[in-house]
Amino acid sequence: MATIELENVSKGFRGGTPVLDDITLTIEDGEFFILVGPSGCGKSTLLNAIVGLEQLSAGEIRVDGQRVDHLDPKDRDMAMVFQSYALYPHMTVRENIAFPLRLAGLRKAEIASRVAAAAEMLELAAILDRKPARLSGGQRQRVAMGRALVRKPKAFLLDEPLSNLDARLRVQTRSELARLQQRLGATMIYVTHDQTEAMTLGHRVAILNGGRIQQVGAPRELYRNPSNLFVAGFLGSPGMNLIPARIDGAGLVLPIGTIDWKSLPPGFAGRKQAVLVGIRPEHFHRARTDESPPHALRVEARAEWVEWLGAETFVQLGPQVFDLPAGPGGVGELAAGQSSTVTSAAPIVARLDGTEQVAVGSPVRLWVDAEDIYLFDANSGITLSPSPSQRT
Amino acid sequence: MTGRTSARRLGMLGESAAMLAVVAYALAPLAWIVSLSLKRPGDLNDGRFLPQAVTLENYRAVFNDVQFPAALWNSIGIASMATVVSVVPAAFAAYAIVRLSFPGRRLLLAGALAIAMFPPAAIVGPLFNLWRALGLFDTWLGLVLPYVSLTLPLAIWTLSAYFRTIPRDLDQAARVDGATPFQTLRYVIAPLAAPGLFTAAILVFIFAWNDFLFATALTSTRAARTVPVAIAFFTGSSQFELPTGAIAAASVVVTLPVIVLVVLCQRHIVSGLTAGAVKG
Repeated sequence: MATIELENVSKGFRGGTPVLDDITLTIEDGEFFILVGPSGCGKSTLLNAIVGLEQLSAGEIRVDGQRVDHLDPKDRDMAMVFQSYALYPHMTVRENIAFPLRLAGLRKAEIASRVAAAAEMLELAAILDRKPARLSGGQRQRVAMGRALVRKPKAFLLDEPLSNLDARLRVQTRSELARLQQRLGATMIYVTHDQTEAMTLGHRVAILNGGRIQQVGAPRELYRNPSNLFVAGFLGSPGMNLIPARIDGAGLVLPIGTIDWKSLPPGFAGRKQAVLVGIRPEHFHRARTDESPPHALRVEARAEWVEWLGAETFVQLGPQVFDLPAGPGGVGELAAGQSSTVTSAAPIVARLDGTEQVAVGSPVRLWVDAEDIYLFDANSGITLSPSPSQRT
Repeated sequence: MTGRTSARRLGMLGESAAMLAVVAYALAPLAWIVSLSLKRPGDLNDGRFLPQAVTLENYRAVFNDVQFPAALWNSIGIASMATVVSVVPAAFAAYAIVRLSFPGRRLLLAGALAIAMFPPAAIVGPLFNLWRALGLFDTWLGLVLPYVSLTLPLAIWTLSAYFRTIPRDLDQAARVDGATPFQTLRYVIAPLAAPGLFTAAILVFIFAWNDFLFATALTSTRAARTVPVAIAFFTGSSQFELPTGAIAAASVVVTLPVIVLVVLCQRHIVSGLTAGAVKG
């Protein structure tokens, strides 16, 4: 097991935009580290660069302090699970798992005992003599895992290992994977586009977009204190509601209401600027008499659509209440540059308790604690700091 | 019986009839030669399809001939050598062309194709002179070299088409598992490309086996003369007798190894070898 350090790693093709742009990361020994981002963000390229399947244009990769970026994949002692699993179709499961050991020149008895141990750990004993074509998706995934862990490598690299499984199996395999990582104490780097996998599996998560790291941190930290609009919009399902607003003499002016100065963080007083307000769906509360906190945004809107899911109710609020112009550098422009998850026309979604009854088309009164409101610069998308409070 | 099943049966009947016709068309000359080879010399011109009496005399004559066994040995040796010497480098070349990106890759493939289209008759004359100067005339090597040159492009094309069907993930997985590029080719790519390797090998072998042009121009004795040429040099027992029976027997003998080879290799030419490698 090992610590993996990336320093100023870049990868680009002549004349093109960089695929990886100055990435610096440290992955600790025994850490379950997640690289997450939308497709095309460079996360798989980064993984391939770490394992040696892609050459770097610049930067260094070190494993336990030793530079490895000039080494061939076979000399880096890392194992990889491919998205397609890439099992050798002409070999049985046993031969597939034994292949890296055979290449390493281990003795037959040693190979047999290691394969047996891996097969037992992954419940593959019954299918050791089958060929990959006769395995189910879940079995193939486990064989790919077995081939990786039988070598006892310095690190495991997994490229979307669950994306070819059906939804039910994916959830099951996800927790098995987490247990396996814990048991082995292995350094794992896991690439996914699925924020649920990132949040549930990762000790730490790096969010990538456009070849750059947007933010690195524990899932809770990223969710509570996103450093920019992209991270805020990427995590959470349904995503954070984004509403164009401005700060002026009256306070924070939203199309759906105004928050006075006293509730805003210090440092905003006297500034005038266009901002984006972010509100997570679960931070909307149904307004009853005299129960909202003193600094709250109060909203009255029409319930355009209601989805009742038993434990929770999602209410889509009518967009017509938010008809303030976005202004220059408004949300539409920003959305194009930042993320597909943010569009100016996106309806506002509130998540209420499942016991709340809201009729479609009826007016609904909600409030949001000023503490739970995120502010982003309308031009750069950077979180305006300090955030209302460092959320924990 | 409903109209639909009878229509289907009729369709199947038509299909079978068409296949029979094709098989008959292809095999009739072969059957004719087999029949001729089994006839007694006196019956050769009797105009019957089946021999009146079966005799192996022609075969005995062929193998008692001083030329023929040597020619058979030359053919087997030269064709096998040409096959190995052509297919092995072709496998390396095709793997490099498919998997590595280097400048001039397309040019190489196009060039290979151009060589394959080059009319062999145009180089036989110069080769004759060159080979005599180099001492390659009437040697095995003297035939193996042109066969390899002319079949290499074909083998490269066949093999690169096969290599392309193998998912790149498998190469990468092998490299991560600790394989050198050669080990990747040896343990992962080559076994999966086996149908392609066998196809290429058969094509090269048949080309070398059947070649008459080079074999007749570049050989002069039984040191390197191959079967097709040897058959052409057959003479009857007298100047006025055509050695038809012997030629027929020799033709059957020379056809058999190819048939055996194809049947043996056919078991390996199955599709779907890469099933289960990725996705699914």
